[in-house]
Amino acid sequence: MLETHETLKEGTQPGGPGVDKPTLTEREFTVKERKQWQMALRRFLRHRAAVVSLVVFVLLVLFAFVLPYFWHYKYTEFVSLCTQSNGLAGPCSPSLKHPFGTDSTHDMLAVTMRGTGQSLKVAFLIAAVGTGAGALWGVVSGFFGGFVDSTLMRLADLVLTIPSLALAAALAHKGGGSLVLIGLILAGVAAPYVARVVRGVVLSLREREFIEAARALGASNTRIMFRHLLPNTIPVLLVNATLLIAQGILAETALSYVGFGIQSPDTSLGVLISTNQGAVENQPWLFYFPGVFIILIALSVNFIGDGLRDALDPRQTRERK
Amino acid sequence: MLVFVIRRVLISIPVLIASTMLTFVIVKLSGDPLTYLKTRQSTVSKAEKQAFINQEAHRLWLDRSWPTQYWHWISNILLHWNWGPPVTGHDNVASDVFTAFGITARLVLVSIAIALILAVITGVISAVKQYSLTDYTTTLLGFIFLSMPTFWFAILLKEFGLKINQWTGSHFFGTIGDRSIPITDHSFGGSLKDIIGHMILPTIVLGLVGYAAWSRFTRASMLEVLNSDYVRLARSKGLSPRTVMIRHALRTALIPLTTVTALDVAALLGGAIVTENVFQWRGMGTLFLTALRAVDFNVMLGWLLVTATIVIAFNLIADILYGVLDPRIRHA
Amino acid sequence: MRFHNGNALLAGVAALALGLTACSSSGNGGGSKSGSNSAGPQPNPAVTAGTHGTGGFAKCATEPTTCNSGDTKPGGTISYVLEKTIPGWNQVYTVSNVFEVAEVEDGIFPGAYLAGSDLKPFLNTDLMVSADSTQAGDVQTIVYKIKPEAVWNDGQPINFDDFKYLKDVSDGTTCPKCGAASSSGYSQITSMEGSDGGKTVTVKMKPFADWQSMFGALLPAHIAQQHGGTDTAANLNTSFQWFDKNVPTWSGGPMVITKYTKDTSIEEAPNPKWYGKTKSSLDKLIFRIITDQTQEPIALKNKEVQAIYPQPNADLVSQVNGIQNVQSYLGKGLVWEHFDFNEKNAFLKDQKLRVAIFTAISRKDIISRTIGQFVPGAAPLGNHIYVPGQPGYQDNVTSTGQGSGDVTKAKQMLTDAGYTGVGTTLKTADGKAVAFRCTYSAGNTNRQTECQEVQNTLKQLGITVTLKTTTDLSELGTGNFDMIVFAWVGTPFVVAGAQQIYELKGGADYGFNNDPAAEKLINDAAGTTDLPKVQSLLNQADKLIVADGYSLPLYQKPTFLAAYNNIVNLRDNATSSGPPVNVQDWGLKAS
Repeated sequence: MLETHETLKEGTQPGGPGVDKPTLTEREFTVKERKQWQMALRRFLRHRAAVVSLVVFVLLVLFAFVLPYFWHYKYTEFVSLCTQSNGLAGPCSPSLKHPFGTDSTHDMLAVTMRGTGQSLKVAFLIAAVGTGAGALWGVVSGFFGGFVDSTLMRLADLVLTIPSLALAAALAHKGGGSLVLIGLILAGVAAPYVARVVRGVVLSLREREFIEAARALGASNTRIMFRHLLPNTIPVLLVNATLLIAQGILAETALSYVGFGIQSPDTSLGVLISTNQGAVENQPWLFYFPGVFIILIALSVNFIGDGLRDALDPRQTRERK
Repeated sequence: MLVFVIRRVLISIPVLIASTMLTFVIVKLSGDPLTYLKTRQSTVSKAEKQAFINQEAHRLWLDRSWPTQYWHWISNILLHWNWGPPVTGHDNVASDVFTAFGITARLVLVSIAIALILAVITGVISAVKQYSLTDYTTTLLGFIFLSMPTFWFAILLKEFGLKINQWTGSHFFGTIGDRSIPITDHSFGGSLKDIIGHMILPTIVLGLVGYAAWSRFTRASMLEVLNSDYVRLARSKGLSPRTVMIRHALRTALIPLTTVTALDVAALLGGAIVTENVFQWRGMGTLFLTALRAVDFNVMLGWLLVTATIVIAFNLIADILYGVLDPRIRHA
Repeated sequence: MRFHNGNALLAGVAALALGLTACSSSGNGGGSKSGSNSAGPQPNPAVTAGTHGTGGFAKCATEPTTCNSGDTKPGGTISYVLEKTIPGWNQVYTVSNVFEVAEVEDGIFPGAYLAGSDLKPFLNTDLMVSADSTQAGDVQTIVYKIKPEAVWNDGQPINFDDFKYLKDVSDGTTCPKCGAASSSGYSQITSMEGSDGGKTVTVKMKPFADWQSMFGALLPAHIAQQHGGTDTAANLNTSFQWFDKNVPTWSGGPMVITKYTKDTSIEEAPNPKWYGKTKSSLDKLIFRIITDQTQEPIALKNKEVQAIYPQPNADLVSQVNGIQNVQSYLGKGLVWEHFDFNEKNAFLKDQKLRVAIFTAISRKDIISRTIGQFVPGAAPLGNHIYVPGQPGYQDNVTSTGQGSGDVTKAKQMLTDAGYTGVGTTLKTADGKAVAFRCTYSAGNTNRQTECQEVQNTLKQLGITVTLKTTTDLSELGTGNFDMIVFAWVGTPFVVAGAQQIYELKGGADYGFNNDPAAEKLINDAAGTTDLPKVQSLLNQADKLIVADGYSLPLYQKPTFLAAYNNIVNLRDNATSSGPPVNVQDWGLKAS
């Protein structure tokens, strides 16, 4: 109850999380003030799915970036093959030696680790660049309005007029399937999307009392934008950033499927399931393992985002009991 | 209000013009249309081959500067409704694009309609009954849908349709195209069954992603509204929960959803690329892929022009709806 | 396609080969996947080698032209899959000279000689009474006798005018702007005469070994007359383009096109005016376009199509073999994979180094990681000009030790040639460390494996190999490669192909191999119409090319035909005509 009360207090403070601390400390009587991040953490920890997802996600990161140093097959290494029922050499099914089996040349676990790592890199790139640029874009646009708003939003419209998959495919067609290029293209297409949503929020916030109050107190434009408006868009940004990580991985997968994604010798989970789509009946491990890893990443990231939203959104008062 | 709408429409025109320039540059960057001739050997002499390549380059205006080519392209469309020749073959690019658009529109609109209805229903229920079993289930399902690669799911779904066909001994589900070929039953009922049998699987695939995203969005914005002061005020005034929900909460919560949906039209057209390829529909998606692989630039340009126009139109609709639904915006 | 098209590819090789290989790199996502999976269960590989199912394909390996024969019952529909869309309808025109168009038009365009399932040309006895070639000194005379009853479907006779029209658009001088796919043969014609009411055609020309490749797909001159004309270059071009623009409603073959749905399907029905011995028993023949190869087995399983002819990979083969009532056949293809060196490279210009490298490479290992996973008994290819299944093929490579994987021998060769650091860091006599790139098509996992195999092997010799990808193989033309792996597409007519690939001025000698002795042998073969002599000359040339260490053939790519086993008289045809070459015979088995 106490925490709820506190939350309410904080949440109803004009300016939300952006408000200056000192004034607050004096006012409370018996309870020691908790820092904002502590409360957020407490709330986050109460979201069980998010916590589990965070653990899963950390494990996935370790799987992708640390485990390769300890696993005795490298993703480039040729492994010996197994004899098929028809007498020909072919992929091995999962065993102790190859927990994920093999494809026609490599250990599938090593390849999956590599693919997971590459997919994570692309996803982070898209989420970080896309959300960062989009937030800035949307806040500036929404805050200033008028000519600035028109120009920036028409620019966003411009990029948004092209389906991202088509745009990325067209640009990647000649680009040779480099990971960074594809990540940046997809981030570039995501940014205006984020910008529009953020602007929508800013537009309705702009007319609220706490902004008026801040203005009346003589706060500069920059201060209002970054101390008051931007923090209030964080919930929206988080929802979008998490969606972007998941969407990033899926967009890269779709690109690989249509043949314009990351190209061999480089790999990604998308490349793996695209090349192995025909194996679904006869060598299911080649299709399902990478697919499950894509779902695991996207799913855990989405739940983490959900947990963060619960934790960071100060206006949301209904709490998990 | 009318002024607001007219202003928005007028603003869209320069966006469309700028968009054509952007798409022109992108298409130019996407490759050399004559690669197919250059990298293939024929049993004619080298000089004859080069002469033919030059002849083709001239026919397609590839030997002119980019601004000249752009002007040639856009002015021919505006003045003569001539969308330019395809790199190979003799099809009319405009009619190709519009035919394909008709096929895709059917797929996308049905998918949007179904996905949107389901998304609003489950999103609202999830928000109202936050942390209930229903909420957890729909959230989990929504998240799983959001996390599945489209074509990965499509392949599994196809296998599923195939299994059902085998169990029932029918040919209800089609896996390629939007109609059976040859069409054996020309009656109305037969045609309807054939169309639906070919439509169900791709609609599910395309609608699923939209559904998942929109139900999440509905839930999020609904929660926000339910926790807002004015809804609390409305409740405390003693209004019935139903009135509060529909007149106050839902209306406000759906404002951002209209924007998101309108903006997602582009994403759905993109999603159609994968879906149509898996199910071999000859809509916008496969048209684009075929064109891109062959660097068939006039087809790509036409495709992007039509897509851009649609997306701009939907943005406009989103803007206007936003204004209609949220009076505060109108004066902005 | 009939022959002339074959020719286009033949040079083959390069032609479609490049197109084809480039496509497979970016084509349909997973389509180009390596044989990363095994073939499905095959009860007795020793006996059924490459064949699966209980139908008539079982004998195709030994009786390619008569297997799967049977009586047909009247009626029925067959859907046969095409993997690409139709760019245009005139298969004689460069742009539309693609495999899919040829398949559709096998039953439409009449031709003097057709390409058989045994990879040999045969006289089309529906159309022709005879075609006799004689050579006197520098003049070859061919007399074509056309059947009196042979007519187009509007009743006009097929005659000299049609032969003349094809020659005029193809020879490169009468209509330089026409852009015909192939001028070979036609450009050497000195005179053409019609007699016997146009039913006898006498052609005089400079001797041309592949003369049977000419007049493989005839266009109706009388229709050309109505749509532009046949007299001047401009009129020829107009009518030639008209043929490309318009879906043929005319036909001189057993079928006629009744409906075309863009990018989706072509429907054909029997031609009522067909003059040949066998009339098609089918109600309808449908060519269904599926541009994503991985969707083909599913459509086949769901009975939406009845026959597919994709480029096989392990997944596809095992998927198809799991479908009830479907039989399949892995045939001998004309496409073959190989490594080439760029002899302009500072290190690779040394023939001794090249031979040592080829000796160290194990083709067996490469095969076991690629096509060996679904082709029973896949063996290394032993010739640069012929492939197994073609008359004239003999293994000229294996006995030299190239491709054997003998690293010890390779090391010895390098030491003998004055290289130092063998096995550690290989250096030339003047102290430069040997290193180069291996280029392959991006996204093509088979080729990636092949280059990686080279990388691993050459490490043992002390050579550093870096992998590089290409999107469209354009590096071949620019010379920006050191070692490259790609495929050639052969045809039944090998001489022109050999000239292009192995002669410095041929246009496709991308690695700049310069071997005047081999060139002379190939040119001699080109001017000979005596088949055994051609084969002997070309094999002598091949031995010289092997000794050059310029190119290492890896393996012959298989073809893959799969169909429901109630379809009879359908059989593999690896030539550019494809299986529909005998489309009038196809039908549903009489029970």
